[in-house]
Amino acid sequence: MKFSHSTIAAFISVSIAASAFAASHSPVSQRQAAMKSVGEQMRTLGGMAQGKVEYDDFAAFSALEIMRDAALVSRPLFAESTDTGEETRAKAAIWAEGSDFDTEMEAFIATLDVAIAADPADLDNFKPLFARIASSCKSCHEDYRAPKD
Amino acid sequence: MRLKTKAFWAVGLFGLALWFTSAPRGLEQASWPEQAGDAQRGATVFALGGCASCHMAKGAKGEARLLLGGGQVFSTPFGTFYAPNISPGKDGIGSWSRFDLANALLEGVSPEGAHYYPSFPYSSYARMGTEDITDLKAYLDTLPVVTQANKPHDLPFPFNIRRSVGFWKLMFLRSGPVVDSSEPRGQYLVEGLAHCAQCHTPRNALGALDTSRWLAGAPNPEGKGTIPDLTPGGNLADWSVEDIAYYLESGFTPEYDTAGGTMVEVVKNLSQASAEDRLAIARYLKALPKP
Ligand code: HEC
Ligand code: HEC
Ligand code: HEC
Repeated sequence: MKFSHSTIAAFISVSIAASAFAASHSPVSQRQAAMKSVGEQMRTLGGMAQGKVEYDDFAAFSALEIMRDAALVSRPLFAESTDTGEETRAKAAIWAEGSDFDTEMEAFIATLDVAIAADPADLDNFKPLFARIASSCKSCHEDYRAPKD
Repeated sequence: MRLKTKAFWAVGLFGLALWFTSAPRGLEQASWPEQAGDAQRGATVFALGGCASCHMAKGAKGEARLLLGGGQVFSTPFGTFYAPNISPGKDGIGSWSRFDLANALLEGVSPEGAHYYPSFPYSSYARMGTEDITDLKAYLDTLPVVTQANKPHDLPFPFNIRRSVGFWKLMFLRSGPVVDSSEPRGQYLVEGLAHCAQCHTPRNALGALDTSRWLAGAPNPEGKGTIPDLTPGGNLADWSVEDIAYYLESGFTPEYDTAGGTMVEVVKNLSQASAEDRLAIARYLKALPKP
């Protein structure tokens, strides 16, 4: 069961990642596409956490895998501040002295790894993992993403 | 000559009338109940009231959110305000009675009998209940003492004269309901204690909330952009009551984007409130009249 989960999900995530990130070239639009994909997976997971849709362990597992891949893709794209003139909500604080942005990203990925390894079988096991993921998004956005204009 | 004397008296009387009408009027001490508050309930009142958002150090996290030493800066068209120390020490409000706190929150009047400026959002807190204020005081008394002197506000004439706030209050300080609502708890929270309108309602030239455009969105004082319109015709048109309540609890929109800007603090506070209170707020918003 575990094996089939990860192979199928890996296949889905690779194909989604490829289609989402290959089209554009600038690191800014690529990292935004990656974050957008993170957001989309969060919607699937959140619907289940909130009880809007029934918990489906396979759907949860694939969403977690895709989310981790998207986070891994985004990480190097935040490595340096590239002013391409594009709209960006990334704050300059990411690249400032003493920034812990990359530590936050690493912790986010580690949280996803833990959730994937747990492969939660039911909603009760899934909820606390979801809560930790949700607080990673907020903690990073609070410090490093500018509000909507 | 006679004319001049008349004019003198007219101006004099007018000035005297102004002086009296602008005088700070507080509550009647006798009307204030004696019972002690419940600090545990007070913690929820404190969260719903968002007091820490303005009175803690800017960006404070964790336990430091309860250090209410003040110092945060509020730049407004009327000048620059600095939040005072409201911790229970001698630099703060340690010597205050429950009655003093009630006078500040409901009437915007200090224990010395001076007006507070409306940058302290008592124009919303004026709708608070006696019990909530009593419990809030009991809770504030349990918080750590912070030693930090208050910084005087930086205001140009005539705003540097506290007495001038008297006219503002005559015109704008109201404690009644703003709209018709069948959701009393939601109304109490949105219009009063949780003061949502202080950010989501546009202001007139005198800095008072424009009640004809109640919660209909406002320019963002933090700089660029606007604060969203919360009326049914606005940004929340496609949000369900549960979506709004979930946003207030978690900070996630129905698209699973996260709340940003000053709303982050509001969500942090409301996540400590009860699920029923968040739903009450959401129901009030969904039932607002369309502007
Ligand atoms: C380590 C920091 C970090 C973490 C963790 C993080 N984000 Fe982001 N996110 C960002 C930054 C920075 C941006 C702005 C990127 C830009 O505009 O260049 C962003 C942008 C976004 C966007 C907007 C994308 C677009 O369309 O432009 C969404 C949606 C999003 N994040 C969702 C999430 C969700 C959901 C999570 C948690 C599951 C999350 N993010 C976790 C830093 C982070
Ligand atoms: C939007 C920011 C803001 C919020 C929210 C806020 N305050 Fe204040 N408060 C201020 C400012 C600014 C002043 C200074 C007003 C003045 O000097 O006229 C002030 C003054 C006060 C004072 C008077 C202190 C003194 O030394 O005279 C008290 C007491 C107080 N606030 C308590 C509270 C409590 C309790 C809450 C929550 C229910 C609260 N405040 C919420 C901004 C805020
Ligand atoms: C200190 C100012 C402030 C206060 C007080 C405040 N808000 Fe907000 N609110 C904002 C800002 C700024 C945003 C935009 C957030 C963003 O950019 O993501 C917002 C966004 C929202 C949104 C999301 C709208 C959207 O389209 O994404 C809702 C819902 C909301 N607020 C409800 C409330 C309620 C209910 C209250 C009172 C309990 C409240 N707000 C009090 C500043 C405030």
